[in-house]
Amino acid sequence: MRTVFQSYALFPHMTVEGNIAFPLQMAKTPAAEIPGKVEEALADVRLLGFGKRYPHELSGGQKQRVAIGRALVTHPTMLLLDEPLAALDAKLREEMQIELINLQKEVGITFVYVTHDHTEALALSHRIAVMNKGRVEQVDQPSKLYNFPSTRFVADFIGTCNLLDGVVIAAESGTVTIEVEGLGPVRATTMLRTAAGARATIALRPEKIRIEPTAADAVCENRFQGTITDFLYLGDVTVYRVSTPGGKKLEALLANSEAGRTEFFESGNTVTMSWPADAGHFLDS
Amino acid sequence: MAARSDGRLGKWLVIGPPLAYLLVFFAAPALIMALASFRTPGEFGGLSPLLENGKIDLNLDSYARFFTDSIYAQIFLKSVWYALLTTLFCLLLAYPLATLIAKSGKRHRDLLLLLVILPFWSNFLIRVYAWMIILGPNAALARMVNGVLAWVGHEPVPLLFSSFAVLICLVYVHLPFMVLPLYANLEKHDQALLDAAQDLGANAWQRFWRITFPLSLPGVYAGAALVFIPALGIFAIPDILGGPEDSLIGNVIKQQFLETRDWPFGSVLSIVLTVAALAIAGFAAWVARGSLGTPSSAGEARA
Repeated sequence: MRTVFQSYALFPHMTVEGNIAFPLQMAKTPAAEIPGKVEEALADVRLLGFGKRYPHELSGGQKQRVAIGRALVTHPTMLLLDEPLAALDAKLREEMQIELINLQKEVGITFVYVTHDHTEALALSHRIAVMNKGRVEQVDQPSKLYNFPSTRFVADFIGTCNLLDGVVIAAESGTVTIEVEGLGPVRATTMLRTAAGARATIALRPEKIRIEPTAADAVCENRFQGTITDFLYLGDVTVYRVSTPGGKKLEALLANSEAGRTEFFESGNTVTMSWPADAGHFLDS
Repeated sequence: MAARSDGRLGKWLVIGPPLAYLLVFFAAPALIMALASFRTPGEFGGLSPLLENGKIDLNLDSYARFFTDSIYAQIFLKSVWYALLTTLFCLLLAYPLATLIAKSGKRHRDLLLLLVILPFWSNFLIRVYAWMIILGPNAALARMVNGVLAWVGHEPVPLLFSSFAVLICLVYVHLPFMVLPLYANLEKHDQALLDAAQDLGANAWQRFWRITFPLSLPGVYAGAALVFIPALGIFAIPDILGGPEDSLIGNVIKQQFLETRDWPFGSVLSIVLTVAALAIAGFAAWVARGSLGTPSSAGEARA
């Protein structure tokens, strides 16, 4: 196993070639084979022609690639990347993410990628392990993790999530109803067995909530009145904060590109929020 | 326009005084000495008049003497040898010490640094005289050494007034000048580089020789220059602790000016010493640049 460090940890007194040759020299690779392998590694990380440069003559993304090339040159079976993109700006980070995905496909070894950035985790991974205080909370595919988090922590950590805490008032054949304080009875589907009286949480993603000016045509199991308190216009989407008469605050996300979307809401507007029973994810607590 | 000339005036105000100081107290005396090296010694010491019978009296006699009488070249080489040994021993002692200080916690670090510079608080000559007592024939050290020598059947040796005494004191006096630049360099090293080297398969020995040592070279060169150049011209230590064989170039220069009163020849020796020190320092800087790849490598170690 090899590690790619957050700070790259390139040896400043060695050229790019020197850096990449270092693990080969440590592994007592015959000197005659080293230049070929270095060249191969440079090609893998698309840095051919940069071999004679020193680390301080490279950009952040290039340094990153040297660090990866240096880690891969001895063909380890696993690569540990410790927040490798944390030091890069947003645009470059996205480019490097795509590069890392492609590189991983090419070399075909396991990449263990440590990150605090949940979008980065979702974008890059085949499987994600969410850790909290040194314990693994859930290991799953990105979409499973996002849509069916198994704990409150996971639901809250991966993306934004409305966590509706309450007491189960009815549970029958895959549908539960929870009395949520400040909101009212919320219905959700679940495979879990539960009984009336148990405390539970419904994890509801903001993009699953529909907001309309008035009670509209769509028939949804869950329907609540609320007032817009704040909104964040993010270009592609708008995030609305809605407060119910009972004092519960929910976050709802609307795609601005949605077909037929003509209306934007202002702070103070009264709206109806609705979502189907299968939109919320039931969490046993 | 006014602002610009103000800026220029400000610049001169800042660099003017130190520049004037250097011109008056360094450049002018150096030029006077360079001129003196071409003049004739006076009948009763000092210099004979520059203008005699309407002729300017400048000659290369003193230089000729230096290059024909091999005793001066020998003393000169011996001085270089002593300075090199001093530098080497200082480096060997200072490297582990500087590493220890750089790796210790904040509180211990300050205390250790204080201990390194503590000797500066007492007078240089007093510290040299202290070695006379430590190395004296009746002191514990000499008795112990000679006790061991007697036990193995060797004749007793004097520690004082020997090359040993001169070298040990040279190393003692110059050690802080090696420790401080080395510490300043080592303290900035990035632990992540060593972690990375270990991850890439380097053992402790390889991590030192491939990573730590090359990155510490700027500190090594700075320390070596700070030790070598003063050690080359020193005269007090051989005067006080050395035997008759331990006379160095500094002693000869002092002798020429104060005892023999041959100022032109003293000037020649001083100039040769200065030129040699500059040449060696220049050579070291050139080597340093080559082996470090780029001059900014040291700064990069911090990033």
